[in-house]
Amino acid sequence: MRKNIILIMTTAVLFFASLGFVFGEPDFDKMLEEIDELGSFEDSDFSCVYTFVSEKPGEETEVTQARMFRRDANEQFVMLILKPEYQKGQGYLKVDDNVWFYDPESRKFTHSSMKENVQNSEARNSDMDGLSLAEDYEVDSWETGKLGNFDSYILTLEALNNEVTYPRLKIWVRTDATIVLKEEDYSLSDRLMRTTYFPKYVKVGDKYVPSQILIVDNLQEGEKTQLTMKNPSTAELPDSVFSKAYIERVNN
Amino acid sequence: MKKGLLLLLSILMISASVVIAQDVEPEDPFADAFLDPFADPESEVDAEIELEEDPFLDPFADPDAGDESVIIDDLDSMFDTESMVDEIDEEQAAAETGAVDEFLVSEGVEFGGSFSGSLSSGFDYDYLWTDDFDFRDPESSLVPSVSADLYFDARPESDYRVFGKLSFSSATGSDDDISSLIPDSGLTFETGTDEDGNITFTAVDAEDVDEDDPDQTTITQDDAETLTDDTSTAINISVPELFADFDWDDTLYFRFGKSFIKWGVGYFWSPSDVLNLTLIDVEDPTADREGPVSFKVHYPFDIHNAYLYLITDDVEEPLDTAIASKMEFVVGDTEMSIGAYYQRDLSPRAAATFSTTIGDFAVFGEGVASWGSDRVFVRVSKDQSAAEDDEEDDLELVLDTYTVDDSFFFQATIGTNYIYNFEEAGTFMMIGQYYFNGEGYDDSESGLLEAAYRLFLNSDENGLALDDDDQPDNYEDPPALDTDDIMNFGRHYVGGIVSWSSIFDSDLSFSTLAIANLSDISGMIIPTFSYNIIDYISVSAGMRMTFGEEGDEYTNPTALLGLSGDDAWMGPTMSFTLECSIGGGSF
Repeated sequence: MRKNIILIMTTAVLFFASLGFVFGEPDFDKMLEEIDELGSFEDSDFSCVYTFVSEKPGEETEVTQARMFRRDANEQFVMLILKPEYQKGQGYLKVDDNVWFYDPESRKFTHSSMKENVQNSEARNSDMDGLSLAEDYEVDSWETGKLGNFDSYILTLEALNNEVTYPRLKIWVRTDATIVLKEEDYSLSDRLMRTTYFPKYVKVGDKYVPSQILIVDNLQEGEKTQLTMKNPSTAELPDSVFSKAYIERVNN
Repeated sequence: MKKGLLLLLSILMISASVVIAQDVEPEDPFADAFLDPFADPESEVDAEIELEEDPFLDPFADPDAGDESVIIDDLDSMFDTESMVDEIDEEQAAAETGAVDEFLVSEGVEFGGSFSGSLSSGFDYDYLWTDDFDFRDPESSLVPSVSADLYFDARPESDYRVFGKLSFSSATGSDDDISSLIPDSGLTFETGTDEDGNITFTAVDAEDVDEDDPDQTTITQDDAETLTDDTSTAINISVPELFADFDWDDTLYFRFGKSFIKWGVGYFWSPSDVLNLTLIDVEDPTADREGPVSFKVHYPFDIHNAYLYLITDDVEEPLDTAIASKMEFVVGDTEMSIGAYYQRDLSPRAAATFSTTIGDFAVFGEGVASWGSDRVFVRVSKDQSAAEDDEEDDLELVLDTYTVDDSFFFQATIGTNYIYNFEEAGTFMMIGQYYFNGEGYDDSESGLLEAAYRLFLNSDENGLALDDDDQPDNYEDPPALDTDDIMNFGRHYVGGIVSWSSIFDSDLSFSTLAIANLSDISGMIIPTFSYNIIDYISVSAGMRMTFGEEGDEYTNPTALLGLSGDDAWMGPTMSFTLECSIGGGSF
């Protein structure tokens, strides 16, 4: 009798637990945090080479290549431009909220903070720091679907502040792993502005890093961009890499 | 993931945003990149990780329309694959060196450089705001210009590198102005030979000119005009950089040689910059400036840096070496520096700089204090008899020169820049700067700058100079004026530049530069439009208009220097320029 009671209780617990699993809502706040942390290497350094190929109708294809060294634990990175030839040797050093741009022609470092634009360019330093899905967005609605062969959560995110570029996002996240497959960016008037695809990842340790990204401008027909990542490494980097001295030495 | 992704995307977009593609193969590398993104034929970095064959075949390719079209709906089919994750062995990833030394060592010597060429036509107008102004009668000119840099970069070891750069530039144009530098009576010189057998050229005083002397040669203004009527071309060759880099234990970094040096943070004026050999050209503030031969020691620690320079330009003995030191430190999002400079024949000085952010504005500033000044000052001479007795009546004011080495001088500057990016309408940029020049003049003496320019060209007119016959035994010539002594002559300056690039996402850009000396209220305004016609060809059209009284600093500096002739217009000028840049690029 006692055995039967235990069996019934156990069965009941498992049943209701399974109900919760089936009908319960996944913890999307945690999912967004996991997405934010996915490519963050807090326990090791990280380096790789990025190639950025951009095409606009009627214009020459632009190819930019850069070597990145990151030490996320200290909020440091160094980026060295490898291509095009006339930009080769330009470098960025970021430490906390400070960014230095190095111009090898004049051998000048220009300091700026994350609050302003980078070296007289149209990009803001805050873009470099990136946004946080967990901090800047909340899940407004969700559904499940399939993208290719992958079961996905399709999350509609609404911005929590007006600091972000796009007030509404739609992202496809694999159900079996916290991997973003696709992202659609919408304007305030709900117009689709840009679609980004993440068809390839590499897994380094327990970290997933996109190794190929395709970006389609939905406003400018024919404008497309591909980003590829090569030579990922989590080897420890010398402290001297994250210094002005290193950037000065590697340039032409 | 999002944070890291946006970080790299943003930075690469920054680079791409200013790209005028010059380094791309004629064929479409984009389509190929999608076929196999890891097989970039241009890549200089070996791919050490081979991923499985791409599961999707060129998703952008439309079989009917070719590679140029985009079939957005098809992109979802990229995910019709069983695997999209390639696992990298953790030990292998951790064993990679991270390519830190990849850029520090090279097997051979790398060569490269850049080329730029332009045709610049100018239309200059004098007599602005007078009845003599004639818009139909400008003085026109056409100046072709080519220049190139060639560099080599040798890195036999990760801690040793030698770099050198050779610059070629054409000096082309009409030399009519040379004739105005020759006196009406001509310029006579005598040739001879010194005791070492070297040929010498000695100027001959007017009273010693002997037309029958075969060793004397006289060049007249007519001769100069005949010789320079045609456009002439010469090639200037210089070595702007030649240095060696090495380090000690990856802790102390050394550089010896000649290289460009960044010392201050100012844009138009940088009073703390005591190392570079030339001042910033306010009309071209981003131009490279020649640095001295120096030995630099750099000690980075944490986020901060300490520098020590030993400057060996123009030294004759070890004690002539100048010493400069600077420490940069970061507090929050502000970078500050303090530094000092000492050379036994120059005024010792201390400097401080900062760069920070206030709201959306970047703010920078410098302050310099020196004990004494390296400037040669001028003042009106008590003895004006030379001007009164001047037969040609072109010496208006006799000046004395003097130096000050027993009081403090202070200079300071503060500025800001602001950038705003309009969505699909271009980028707006603004830079503004104020400069207090404690070594400048307050414009209380009218005509002082004009007289100083004349004294710069005719040092024998110094009010303190004595004729040979009157010189006592311990006589020393009064200090002579140098070009730096007559530049930045005022005490207060402002400068600004406003630009709008990629106007409405086009290849058209506009900028306006304005500089003013607030002490004499003279200045210049230079608006310019530029347009990129095709790759390697762009045009710019601009105007340069000056304002101020005759003899003021920016009103007509060419005339102040005597390059426009004795009777030249000294008032405000206006000129239009049309420049075509052709064939510029890097290799």
